[in-house]
Amino acid sequence: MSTAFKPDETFRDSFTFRNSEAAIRRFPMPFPEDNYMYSVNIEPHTAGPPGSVTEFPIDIDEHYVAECKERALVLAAEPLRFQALPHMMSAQWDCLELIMESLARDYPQHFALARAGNRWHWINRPLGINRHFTFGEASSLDRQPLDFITRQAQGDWVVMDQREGDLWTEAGMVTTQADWSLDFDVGMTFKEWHGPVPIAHELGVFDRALKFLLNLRLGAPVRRLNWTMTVHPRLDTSPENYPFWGPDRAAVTALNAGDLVNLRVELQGLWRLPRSNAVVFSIRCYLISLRELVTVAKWGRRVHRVLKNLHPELVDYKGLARYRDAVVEWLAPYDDGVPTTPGTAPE
Amino acid sequence: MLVTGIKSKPVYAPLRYDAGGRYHVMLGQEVGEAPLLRVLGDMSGSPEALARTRVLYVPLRAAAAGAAPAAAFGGAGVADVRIFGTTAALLEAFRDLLGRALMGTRLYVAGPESFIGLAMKIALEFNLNKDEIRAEECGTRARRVYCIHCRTTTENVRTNIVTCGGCTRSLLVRDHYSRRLAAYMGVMADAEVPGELPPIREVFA
Repeated sequence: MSTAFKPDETFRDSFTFRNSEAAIRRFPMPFPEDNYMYSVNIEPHTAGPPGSVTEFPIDIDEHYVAECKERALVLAAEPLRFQALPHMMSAQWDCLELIMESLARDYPQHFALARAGNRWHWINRPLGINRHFTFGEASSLDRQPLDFITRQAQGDWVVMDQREGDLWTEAGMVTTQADWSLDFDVGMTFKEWHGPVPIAHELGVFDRALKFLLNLRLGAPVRRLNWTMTVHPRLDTSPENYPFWGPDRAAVTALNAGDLVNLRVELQGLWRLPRSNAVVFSIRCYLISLRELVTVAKWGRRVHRVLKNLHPELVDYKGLARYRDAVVEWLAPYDDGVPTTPGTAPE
Repeated sequence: MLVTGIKSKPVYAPLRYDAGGRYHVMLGQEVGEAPLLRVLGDMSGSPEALARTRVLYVPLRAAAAGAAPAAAFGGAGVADVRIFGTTAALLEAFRDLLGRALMGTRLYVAGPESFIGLAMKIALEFNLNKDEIRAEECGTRARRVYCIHCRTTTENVRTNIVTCGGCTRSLLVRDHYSRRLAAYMGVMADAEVPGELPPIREVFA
């Protein structure tokens, strides 16, 4: 997509975030059918159609500049939203390389990377960054490598060390999360980290996902979609700040749901890293208000049906208990009962 | 939000003597005395192993203090027994010991879950792996609760809802457990509608 950035949109207070028509059309709809249950929905992270969110390994869209500004606001108030255990330095450099290479290759109008041995030169035009540094030498950057580069990337980034047949969550930049805390979870094994997810353990989802990810190969990244809902286009729905965003959930009614409630979709990408053998997990958040969503007739019908029939434990886990009924009521007029075509495309 | 049945809640198994270890470090709090004595009983045929065993024990209750525990451990054949007046003092000595520990050390911990958690937290800092550590839970199930909002840890929590010792919010105690923090997560219980709280019950006796 041609990216005309909207640098002044906000994800807090005034909530001026909106999607352009093009952004709506490319929204990663997570429901291929009219109902939803957990599955190991992992697929190769290969190039999608031009203009789609998977055209390139790391998607840059119209919200890029505004999201980077939002991240800086979170970090200024809460520095611990970035964390890295000491042995993760090699993996941090791996991540920096992955992100810089991807962005410079796929968006040359915005980013450039020049390398002469370990002497690297990075240019980020949208954010006005022009930086020479020595790859692998921490003192040549003013921040840790993962901190430096993920302040210039959309989405959260979690780095997992692989040892003892497990993946350990041991570094990350997490400011746009759906109610989980890196500060609390850092140091956990894969299953400890996912402990709070209901049902999926019993379905064997995490056993299979872990086994799969332990064998993830270099150069063969994978992806999956996950989803929840958020009141207002608020990126930072962290447990840390729940006292501030929790009350929003009690404000939703069948009259205002179309404007207040957003479908929140995570495009999760996983890459094996070359030097550290760690796995980096990117959790990129896309938001769309219900009012924007129903401009695609098929999506209005489908999301109405998914929410209406959602498993009660998932309603609770996703924090929808207080306003799911209001959302279903708001969406009902957009569902005329016509069958939907399979797949997620707008049709 | 899942509150109970979370898979990060640790599960411990009964202690067993590990004959593959060269040095044995045993930590006990309160009723943890009995499991440690049981393991020492299994070691009674190995005077060399007993000679390379250290016991660090804190009785907590005044009635259990005094010379009795030291005599019990001594009677089991351990020469190096240290009895502490507080858990903090025991953990400090344990940290000091790990700093000097040799390869082949095996750690045995017995006591309430919160005590095991604190010992494990230190073991984790020294990179002991799970094959080198064993723990048996006994005694009170009271929890250490980490406030996710203000980062204060409240000790000895026995109820489903607890007032945070730092920010005074009412926290819902979840089963989500961090070994690094040796604590369960506490999340504001009435954030969505102030004052809307479930009945407060003792659930961690």
